[in-house]
Amino acid sequence: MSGAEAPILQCSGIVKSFGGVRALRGVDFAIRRGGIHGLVGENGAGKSTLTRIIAGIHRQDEGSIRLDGEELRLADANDALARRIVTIHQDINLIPSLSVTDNILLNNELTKGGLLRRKDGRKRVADLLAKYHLDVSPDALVQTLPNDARKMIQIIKAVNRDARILIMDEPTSSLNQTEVRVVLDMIRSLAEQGVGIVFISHYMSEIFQVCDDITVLRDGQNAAHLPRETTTLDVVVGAMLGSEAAAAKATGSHARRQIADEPLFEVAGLSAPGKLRDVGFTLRKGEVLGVTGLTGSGASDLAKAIFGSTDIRRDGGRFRLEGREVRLDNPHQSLSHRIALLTSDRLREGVLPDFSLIDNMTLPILDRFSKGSGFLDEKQRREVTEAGIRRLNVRTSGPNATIRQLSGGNQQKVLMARWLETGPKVLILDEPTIGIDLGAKAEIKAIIRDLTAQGVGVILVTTEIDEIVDMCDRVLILYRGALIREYAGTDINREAVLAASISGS
Amino acid sequence: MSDAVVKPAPGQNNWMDTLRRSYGLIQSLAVLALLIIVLSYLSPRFMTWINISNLMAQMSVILIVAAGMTVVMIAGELDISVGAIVALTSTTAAYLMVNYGITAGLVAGILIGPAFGILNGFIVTQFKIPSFIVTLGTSMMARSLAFVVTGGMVIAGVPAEFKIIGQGKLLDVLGFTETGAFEYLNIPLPFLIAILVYALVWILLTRTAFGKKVYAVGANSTVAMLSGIRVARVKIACMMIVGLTASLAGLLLLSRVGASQADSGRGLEFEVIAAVVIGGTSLYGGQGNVLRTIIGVVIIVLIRNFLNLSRIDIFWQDFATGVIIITAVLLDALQKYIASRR
Repeated sequence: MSGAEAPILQCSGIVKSFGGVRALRGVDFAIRRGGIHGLVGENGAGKSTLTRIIAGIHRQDEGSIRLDGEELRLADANDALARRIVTIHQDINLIPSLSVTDNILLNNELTKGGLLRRKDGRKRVADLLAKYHLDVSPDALVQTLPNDARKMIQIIKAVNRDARILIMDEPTSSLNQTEVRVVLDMIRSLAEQGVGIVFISHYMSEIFQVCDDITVLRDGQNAAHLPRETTTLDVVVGAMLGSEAAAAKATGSHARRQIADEPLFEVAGLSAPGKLRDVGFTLRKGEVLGVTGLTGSGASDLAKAIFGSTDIRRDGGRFRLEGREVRLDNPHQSLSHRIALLTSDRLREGVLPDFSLIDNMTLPILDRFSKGSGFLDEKQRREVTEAGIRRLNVRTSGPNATIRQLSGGNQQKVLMARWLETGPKVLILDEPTIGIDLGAKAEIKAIIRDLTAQGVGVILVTTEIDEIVDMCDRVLILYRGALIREYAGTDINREAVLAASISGS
Repeated sequence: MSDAVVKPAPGQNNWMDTLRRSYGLIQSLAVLALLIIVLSYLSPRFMTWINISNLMAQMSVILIVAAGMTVVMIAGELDISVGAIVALTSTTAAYLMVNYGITAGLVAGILIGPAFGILNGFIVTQFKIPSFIVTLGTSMMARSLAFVVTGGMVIAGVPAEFKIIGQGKLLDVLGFTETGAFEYLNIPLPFLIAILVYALVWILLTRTAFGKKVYAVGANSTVAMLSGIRVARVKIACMMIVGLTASLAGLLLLSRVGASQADSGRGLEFEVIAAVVIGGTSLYGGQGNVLRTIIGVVIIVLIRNFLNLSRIDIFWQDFATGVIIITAVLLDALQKYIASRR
């Protein structure tokens, strides 16, 4: 990439506030033709806000954006699309009940005289799928496809828009390691075709694999702008964290502890049609038990099935907590036995976006605040929320703020606080650090260690192998819904876990 | 991360935010004010106490049902059987009062709505059928039963003691014969009952754990379920509450009119839903304010009054109500757009 080439898009001095919180405080950012621009920073550093302004979702308070040297004033997100600025969101937003073809061509259909040119459309999609080596039928319904295929389709859909600027927000967060490579290859070939790409990711290895240059944001300001070839991971992490770099980065390996052989929670014969087959294990007091596997291996389903989520149909399964048989038929029962679940899908299964932090944090424990009179004790609710905000270091303008105003990572901390407030004996965490920056990750890990020291058993469902190696005392590997392997203590290493997950043996 | 904490600027932008958030309220109050001005201009009789207290008595039925409907709509459901429940309650109560006395009529009457509410809620939650369809079905059942009870005739002869509730006014009932300067305190009893219902529902929604659960269930039932909230119970309770308000309204209607027929309360459900939406409660659940529903009801009732006073052909009245419903939903969308703009 020649640095001399004028950028297609140039942001200068972008300032943006939400309510009382200043999200961006004069940010510069440029996108070149055919360049892959890494955008990194901690949660709340301003990455999402910046890309949403470029995508026409928000409008900057101050500063200018130039597209091809001309001042750009976007009316809305559609206006951005019309100028071929396309965003691929972290969440997969396809219509599950429609076919691959219909999804990719949605709102961009090939027509003749008002009628669909079905054959041409199908062929166009088949060509695209072949081009990007995605082995699915153009007629398959999206709801029948695994997560990674959906992500690829989402990207192909954007590509079919003839994008010149492509903003990718955590494009790999829902993928496992083998699938990541395919997606990264695709991103590289898009850049070669001249698309300017903004690549947001918390996975530093991916940033270093594909990006030409890296812009680091911190506190809504430019912290550094680094060409990939001449920089190192330490420099980038240092810029992200600022002066306190060293402390937060020291997430050193989890010292292998001796866990007393005191069973806390036992699962036996747990099955769910099409999802889980006869899973059983024992969680000990103070243990972090990892559960991992490829996407679709059933790890997330296992978390929900234990918790009794009503959207998973269970077919057999017995549970013993502290030696006593317990029924966990629904979340209400599970919570009354002090078993809690942090789900991975923050948007659909976690937050109530328009509700306050108080409402979001105290949702499972509402009844605790209305003992006696039947009226809610609002003062106590506020105090509990404020304590949670302090404990988890949530960045917010106050407990009455709507949770929508917070960055993704801060929302996740609020949810973590929600479940901690239920006082769990067994805490099931499904991808607790998904889409979260290094600082927040370290904080959440510290909290998990704190909990285990108090005797809480943690079931950590994750597809991040580093997290397993770092955190878990034992790890269970699921393959197509069945438990195929268990590693403990010093036997836990990246190669073994990865190999078992992929091979199924 | 201590250096990363942005201190919120107190006071900054707060009044703008407050203004944006209250846009819906301001809008409905403006419509209300406009209506009152137009009505006073059209008819000198409009602003008289007699007309106002008549309006109060008239709007009590729709007011009470709208309070219950607000609860159901916040929980993300609808109940279109309320009109038929009003009819079934008032005919059954009338029949029982005439034949077996006031108590029998009151007890049976007040139980009909909650019973249908449990049935509606049970079918909706256990079989995952949209409440619109379920209550459409039970609505036809209830209406049919009302005709069975009356045999298609008007049931008259309700005891006079019972009629006091619907026809009495505060000072008259308290024994003041000369109201004089305190005329404005001579409020119709049904209106006072309606206000009491609103106070109770408001407390229920904003000051109790149940109320918070209703909002959460309406906003996202999966999140609520995963938080240990028993979604089905909450929804059934909400359907019971709207049934209870429908039965209460049916008894008041019977008491005010003094007679009952199976055809009463037809179309009431849509007027009520329109009033709730005009009051700013979302059709999609999760947000709403029961006190603002009062404004919605008053607007609907005043528009009806306006149509009467301006001598528009009675056959055009439903047309006008239809236009109002659509306008209300459009205003709802506009309101959301303004609230979300930054």
